[in-house]
Amino acid sequence: MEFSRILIVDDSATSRMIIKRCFQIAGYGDIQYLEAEDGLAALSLLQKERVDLVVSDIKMPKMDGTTLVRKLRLNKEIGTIPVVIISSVGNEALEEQLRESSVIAIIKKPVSPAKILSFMEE
Amino acid sequence: MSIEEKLKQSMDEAVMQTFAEMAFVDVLPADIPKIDHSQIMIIEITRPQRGVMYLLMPRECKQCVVENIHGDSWESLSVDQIDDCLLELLNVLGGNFLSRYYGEAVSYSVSFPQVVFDESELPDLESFSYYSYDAEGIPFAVALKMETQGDSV
Repeated sequence: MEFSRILIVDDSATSRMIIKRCFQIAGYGDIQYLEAEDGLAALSLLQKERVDLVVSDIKMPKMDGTTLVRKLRLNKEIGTIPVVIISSVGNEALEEQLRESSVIAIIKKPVSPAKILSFMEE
Repeated sequence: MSIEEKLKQSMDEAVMQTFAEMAFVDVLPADIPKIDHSQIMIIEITRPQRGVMYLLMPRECKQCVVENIHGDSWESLSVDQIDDCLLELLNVLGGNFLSRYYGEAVSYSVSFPQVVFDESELPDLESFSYYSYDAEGIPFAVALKMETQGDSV
């Protein structure tokens, strides 16, 4: 898969920084990274900006990652954007639910360049 | 394995992995009865059992972790950046511990982590399970209280 613009969604600025850095260390430094601090801000940004991939946390204020994925899939214009979940919380039931919503990968925090590389090369 | 042993093993593994992969700090379990700490950070466990986890770190330890994660000096970072960094560390640690303790098949959830500004409002930590660690010569601790069928562990 080739991506030129990735949206990182996480309420923690530290987490957004770490995720971006892991992508860059994994060799994806040429990609342009956009950021949003919750699902609501992400949806607003996606209406205005072209994005090839959404990388989102689950637990966020205002709108969590699960709701973001659901609302994204309901939108005809942006509903096919691939989504990766990177989160500290999770379980098999939630992961199954997310995969049914066409989430293409679920990565457990702490994220690392190796985990990013593994997903990007699949 | 007893509950206490499983809690300790899960916490030790979660702490070592989280600090290594997030903050690039090697951590080993240690036997340190009391840690002098600066502001406590707290995260509440809401499912499948109620509980609370405190992260007790001296400023020196916080500085080491934050500088490693950010790649910048402590002095160059804002209070918000420092707090956010440490709270994210606790958030990841909490999830890591719960997934180890309960297993991947169990649904668990935690609150948003917070900095405690008034320690006088906290319950007595002597009733908590206390896990101390050595982070490359700097001590820190995690205090945990889990409610099991009305009894504290």
